[in-house]
Amino acid sequence: MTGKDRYAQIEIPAQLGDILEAAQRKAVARRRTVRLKRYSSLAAAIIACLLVVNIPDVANALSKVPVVGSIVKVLQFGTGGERTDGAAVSTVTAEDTIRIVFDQEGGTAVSVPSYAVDQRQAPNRLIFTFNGVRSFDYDALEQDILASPLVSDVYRNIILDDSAMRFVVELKEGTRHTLTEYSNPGTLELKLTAEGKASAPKEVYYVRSEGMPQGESLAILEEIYLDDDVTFLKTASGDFAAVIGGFATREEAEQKLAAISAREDYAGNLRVDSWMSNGHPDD
Amino acid sequence: MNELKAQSPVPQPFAELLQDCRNNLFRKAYCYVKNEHEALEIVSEATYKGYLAFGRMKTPQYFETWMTRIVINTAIDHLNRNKRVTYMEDHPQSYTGDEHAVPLEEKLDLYQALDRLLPEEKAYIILKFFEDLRFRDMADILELPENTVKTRFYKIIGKLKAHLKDGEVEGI
Repeated sequence: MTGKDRYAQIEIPAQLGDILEAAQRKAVARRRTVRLKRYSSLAAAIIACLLVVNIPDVANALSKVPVVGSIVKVLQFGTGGERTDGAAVSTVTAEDTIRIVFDQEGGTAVSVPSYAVDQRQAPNRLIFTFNGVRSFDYDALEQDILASPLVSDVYRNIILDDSAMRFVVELKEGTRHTLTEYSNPGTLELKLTAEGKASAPKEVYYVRSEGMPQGESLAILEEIYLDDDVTFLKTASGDFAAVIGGFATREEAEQKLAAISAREDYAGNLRVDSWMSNGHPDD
Repeated sequence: MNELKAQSPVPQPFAELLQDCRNNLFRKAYCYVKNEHEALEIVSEATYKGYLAFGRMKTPQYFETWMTRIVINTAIDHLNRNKRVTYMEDHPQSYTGDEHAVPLEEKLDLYQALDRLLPEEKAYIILKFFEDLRFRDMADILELPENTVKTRFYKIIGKLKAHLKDGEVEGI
């Protein structure tokens, strides 16, 4: 038997796939730690601003909220919660109030797991990200949130970290929202009202990827374009696209694309596109 | 390229690309350590490094070439860390010649002969004789000029020859 034959007959161990998957998960966790360190100082610098800007009318927001625990904060967007692992999630919907309740180790969680809520326009949407949640019944949550007449769509974004969870809540035009974080028990409450006036739709410009099915390909685009503030939108046909923007003019979007494509590692997979602020990208 | 084929230009996720070449990567790692547990350790570490660097990869169509380089470097680091090497004196002679003029694999059990080589030298035998790569493709993986690869390759053969009994590899 030649050396080449012996090489070809090297036995591939059955656990190779599992070990390589574990290595990828470890890399994801490492990347997340680095990212958290990178942004922690920035977050500290802007948190005071968020606390002020985020509370439009606290007294009004709280007047109709039934007591379900101790209020930690009221906000429209931002971050909160405490680091946990393995928190379970359930939802309760009553009229325009959606409560996301967290349980841990069979009992009620004292506080909400670490979360971030982003508010974006075109279309009007909230992006919820929870860390340290492993038993997230997403389907039930989606069903509960979709029951609200002020919600136009709910969909999930895949994250390369099996203890994190992200979903997008698209709100109908003119819908206003308030988020309240409670402790004892750990609850996040989303209250929607139809008080706002729908603004006239306008064309918005984005740098975007091709539409693709929900999955790891999209999650990897998040890692690649993390510093470009990438988000993920459902397309008209139900696929998903990574989008960066939106910009008021095509020129601004093209400038952004030029800046990205000048990078050494750019893979040539983005283009400029536009759609109406109350619409969705085509495929 | 020969076995290390160019991948589709459409961006594919790391896991999907890895799936297609993971067995080849394991075999290369195994040649360095001849031990399943250590080979798994090497491929796992290379996967970890590769995943973190994937976003900065310049030519995604050559994923396997790129991962092979990471596995080779990880294996060399692993061996140097663990000092599991049989060192031998360097052979000062330099060799040149046509790449098809060396029927060494017919004269010598190259799989066993790997154990005689420094960690940095093993890749030349694995890629040339086991993977049947051309010098140009080896140069891509090793990130060296093709002529440098040729010179080092023949130097390594000279080392092996020097360790064999007289007449065993006549005609090299």
